[in-house]
Amino acid sequence: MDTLQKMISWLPQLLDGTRITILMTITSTCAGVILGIFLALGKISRNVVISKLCSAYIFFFRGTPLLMQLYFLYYAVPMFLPALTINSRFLAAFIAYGLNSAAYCAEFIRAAIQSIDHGQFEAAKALGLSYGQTMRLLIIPQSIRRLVPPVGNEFIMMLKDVSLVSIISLGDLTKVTRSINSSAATPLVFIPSMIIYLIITAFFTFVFNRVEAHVAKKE
Amino acid sequence: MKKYVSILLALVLVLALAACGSSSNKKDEASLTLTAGKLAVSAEIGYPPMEYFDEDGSTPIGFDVEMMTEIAKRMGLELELIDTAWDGIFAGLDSDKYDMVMSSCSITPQRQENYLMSKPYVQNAIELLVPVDSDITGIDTVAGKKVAVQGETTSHDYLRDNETGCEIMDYDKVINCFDELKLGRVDAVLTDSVVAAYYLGDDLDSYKVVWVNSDAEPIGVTFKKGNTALCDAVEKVLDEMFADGTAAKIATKYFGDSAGVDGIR
Amino acid sequence: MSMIRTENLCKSFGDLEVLKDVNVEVDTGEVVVVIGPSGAGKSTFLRSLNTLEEITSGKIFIEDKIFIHRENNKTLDKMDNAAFKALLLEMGMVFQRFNLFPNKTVLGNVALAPMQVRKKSREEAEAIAKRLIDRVGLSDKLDVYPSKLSGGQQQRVAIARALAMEPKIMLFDEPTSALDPELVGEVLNVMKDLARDGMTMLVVTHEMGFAREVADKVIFMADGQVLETGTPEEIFSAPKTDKAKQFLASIL
Repeated sequence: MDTLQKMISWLPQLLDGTRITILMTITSTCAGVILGIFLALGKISRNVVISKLCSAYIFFFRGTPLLMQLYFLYYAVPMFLPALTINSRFLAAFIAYGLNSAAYCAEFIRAAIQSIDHGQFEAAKALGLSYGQTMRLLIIPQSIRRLVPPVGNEFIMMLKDVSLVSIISLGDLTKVTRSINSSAATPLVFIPSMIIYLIITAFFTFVFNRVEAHVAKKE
Repeated sequence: MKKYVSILLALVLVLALAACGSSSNKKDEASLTLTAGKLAVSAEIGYPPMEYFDEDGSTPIGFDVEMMTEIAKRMGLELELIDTAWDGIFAGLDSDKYDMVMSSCSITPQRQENYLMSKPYVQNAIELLVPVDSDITGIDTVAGKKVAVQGETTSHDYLRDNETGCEIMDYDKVINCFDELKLGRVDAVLTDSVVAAYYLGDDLDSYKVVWVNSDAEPIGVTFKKGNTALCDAVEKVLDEMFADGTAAKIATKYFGDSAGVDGIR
Repeated sequence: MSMIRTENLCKSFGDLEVLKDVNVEVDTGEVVVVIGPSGAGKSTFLRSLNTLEEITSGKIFIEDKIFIHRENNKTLDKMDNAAFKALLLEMGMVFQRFNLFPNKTVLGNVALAPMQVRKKSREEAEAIAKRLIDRVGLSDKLDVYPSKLSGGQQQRVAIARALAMEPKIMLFDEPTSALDPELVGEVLNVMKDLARDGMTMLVVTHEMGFAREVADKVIFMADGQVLETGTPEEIFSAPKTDKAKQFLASIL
């Protein structure tokens, strides 16, 4: 019972970390999806310059480790470009994760857009809708249904990627866990911590399944 | 939802079983060490001048590294140095991942309660570093300031155990504390004196030490609780190394003088 | 008066010539049916009229105003966007595969373009949409999504959707080819209804009965060329070319 008491005594700290983890996961995935839509549209744009720029962006953020991007943004950028210094750790992590997630989102958003029947574009064109109207009113809303599963996937990946924020001294669930592990000198703390992760994952998997079912009804 | 609950329960059970299970790495009864003929030592390499990589990025050097090399040699064992992240380094002792930890471990009551620690082999103190123009004059004036420490070090413990009123910022790597200080994101760094001297080597004009912990903080070798046989053997070798001047020689090489080891044994 | 007229319309996909000097004229109020074997270029011809396909060379006139003029794959006499769009919107199009918007209800499908393109208020657009949906006999399906409709119902919605933009000519690209046989009739009835009301129509179809009954003029195309033009009587009873004879023999 001693063990259980110990675990309960860690809960407040663990929940503090959980708050940061969930907040960071939600905000950066949202930012990633929104920015990802623009990147995807940019990549399939007929404007070669925009298309190449977006491709380069995606290549860079998918081609380098997230850990290094976070490190670079928080520690290296201020030394080279003091004007771009971000002193808020949460903000820095949010920006790094959002930018990174956008690159991954852009790829599956592009795939979803391109999987929409070409007849949709033709019908829209024949009715006189502009490209922007077609995308905004028809193609992107139709892509959403196909986007729910990969966004859910990205969300779950992000949940675990957020554990990297400890390098900039941001106390997410993993950092708090490791901290308790060291100060209490027991690996026992990993058990409640992993259970919390599983609960979050289960909850959001449930939410995404519900969203998917809901969106499916609207077609 | 029911499905998730049952999956969760199953996982909890597995984890609990794993936690109760005894360590798999059974010790060879005849040998003093986990693997006969080998001395497995763990250190977090990245803590100059105690243990760090040479400029080639792959050769471990430093005070601890040379000390352990000498210890292994005198015991007639082959040294196996295992680079381990600091938080979690002691847990590896419990699970018999290595024989001992020699990684600038300060001897603290809490560590002594959970592990077996040798007598000191080098003296250390924690120091508070600030920019030269800072209004912090000592540990009693850091209230409301941000102080960077490496996580789970004695510096971290000091801030947690003493009511200084500062905001504690803990980082995985000690270099990040100095990065933050240089970028002005933290107001001070609390760290081991040996390390501070190393990192501020080039920037000594911009920073100053405003406080040194008056309680001297000796560093010792850490063993798994109850492993007195190995501890005694290592203590014997250490005594020899202090007696014949080897320890002083290595200290001078890395700290510039032998003050850190003089007279502690 | 001429509603649509083409002059020497040519279209190639690489080395493949799919349209060779197509000259067609549709007068206001006329129903023109285009027939011919598959691969004749009928759909490509129809789709090039409202620029879903870009012609290689030739001219297209709408109400005797130049709409498209291209030579060697380059646009000449480029007109400003507003004028171009005004002429484009004189044509409504119905597709073989309906192409309804699956994320919009029946009402949403029909009211979308009047709102977004004609900038009508929602109330006004929906009033127009409801009237047209009623006209194609689907008043009870206003809030239904297309996936819940039969093919015939979807095509009727598609016709209402095109009509909502108040076009002067309707282009039908094999409107019944994707339908189960028992659903063809309901779509053809809507089309006949339109024809009776005096709508100008250009229809690509394999429904010879419809052509006989409704068409003012039948065009026979093969190998990217217009081989015969005439009244239904002339084409069906006395085809002049061998290709037309063969084709009619194969389907009748």
